[in-house]
Amino acid sequence: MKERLAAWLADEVGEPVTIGDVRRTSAGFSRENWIFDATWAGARHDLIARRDPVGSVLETDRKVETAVLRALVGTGVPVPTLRWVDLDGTRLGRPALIMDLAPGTCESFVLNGDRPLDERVALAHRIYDHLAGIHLVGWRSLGLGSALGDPGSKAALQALDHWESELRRVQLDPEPELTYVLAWLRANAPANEVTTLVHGDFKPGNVLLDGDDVSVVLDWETAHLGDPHEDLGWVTNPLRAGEHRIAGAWEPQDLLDRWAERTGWAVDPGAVRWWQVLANVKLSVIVLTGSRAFVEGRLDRIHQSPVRIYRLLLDQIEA
Amino acid sequence: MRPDLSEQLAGIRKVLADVVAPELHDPYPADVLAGVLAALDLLADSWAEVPRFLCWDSAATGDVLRLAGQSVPPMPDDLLDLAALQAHHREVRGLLEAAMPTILEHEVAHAAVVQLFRDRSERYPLAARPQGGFAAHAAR
Repeated sequence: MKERLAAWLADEVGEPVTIGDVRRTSAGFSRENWIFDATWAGARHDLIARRDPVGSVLETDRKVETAVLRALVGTGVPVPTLRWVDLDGTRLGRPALIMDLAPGTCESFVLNGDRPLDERVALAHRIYDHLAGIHLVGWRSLGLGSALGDPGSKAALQALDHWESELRRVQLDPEPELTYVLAWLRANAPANEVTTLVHGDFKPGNVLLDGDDVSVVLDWETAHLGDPHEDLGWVTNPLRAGEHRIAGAWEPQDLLDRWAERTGWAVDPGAVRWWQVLANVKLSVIVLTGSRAFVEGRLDRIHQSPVRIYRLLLDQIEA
Repeated sequence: MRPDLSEQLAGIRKVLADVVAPELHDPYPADVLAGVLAALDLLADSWAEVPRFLCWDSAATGDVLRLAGQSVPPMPDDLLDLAALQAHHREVRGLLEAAMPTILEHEVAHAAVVQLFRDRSERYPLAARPQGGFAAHAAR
């Protein structure tokens, strides 16, 4: 890895590059993250290489992530600085991109961590205000329509088609529970009134915190155009309460109220519920993708059947 | 058969935890090993329940299929033949998946399939536990 990085960067900067420590982090289930430092022209640079894995829990398009990262520069949404991209995998063996290592730490459960309650609530405000900021991005003027595809008012049906197709592609066994839930989703799909940039995996674990501030929002590989209720369903999903909620102080309704205040748009509770259900279908399919990759020897993490998510799905659609 | 299967799985887990884990200083392999240890824990505790679960789930799924007017293949003659049991289980689960449009139109079968899904989620012996990969991470 060190030699390959040195060769790539030398070509990019036009002079010899010295690579220091290279280490793979444990973070990330869908990309390999390699942190390293590189020195050229007498200056040290802290960088991160994100490479497609041999096997993943999520099949995503590196071109989409690249287009979004480039488009969002200067919009007010803090994103990592993208340095170089290798879409065909000639540099590191598989598609990869290199970004500046942004300052800060990743704390998935920071909202329920050791900080005082008022600090955690203030932090929640800062984190989720960035979600509203993402939804307010003028994606048309940034040219993201051609890169990401505009689903019009059928974002829900398009997402449903996508995840059903993914399920059929990866499932090793029949999954009648998901077939049952998919039928409910198809019968109840909402039309979206607005189309926005959707992050697709917004969570405290996908931001870097530099002290009390959000330095960057990470992991844009699932970004797309769609219904902002998709992200709202994702962050209010009861399955992920440990990451997104502070009991009694930052409940889902608090999050939705603040989002509505920041965006000026009304929240449709029925749409939030629908997208919460789809969120758990999506998580189930991600787990099943991991199961297939493990069985085929492409992933080194064992993924068991998501039966506990199925139980929650039943509760959600029968509520 | 000593050490029996549970004892062997638990012993392998202990060796990995006591001998290998302390030598892993990079976060990625340490994290992967933690997932392996959690899986060995789960298998040691639950492998013996798998045949019983397959028998129950196949029979219960067959009951729902019959409620919806579907034909159901007979259980394997030898219930100790795990491969045959797994193949039969997979077949009836496939039939249930294919019959879902019919079941949704049938009030009694619809209620029965929901109850089946709830029951099997309670009985499923190899459900992920915390520390065991993305599913467990998501379920924390």
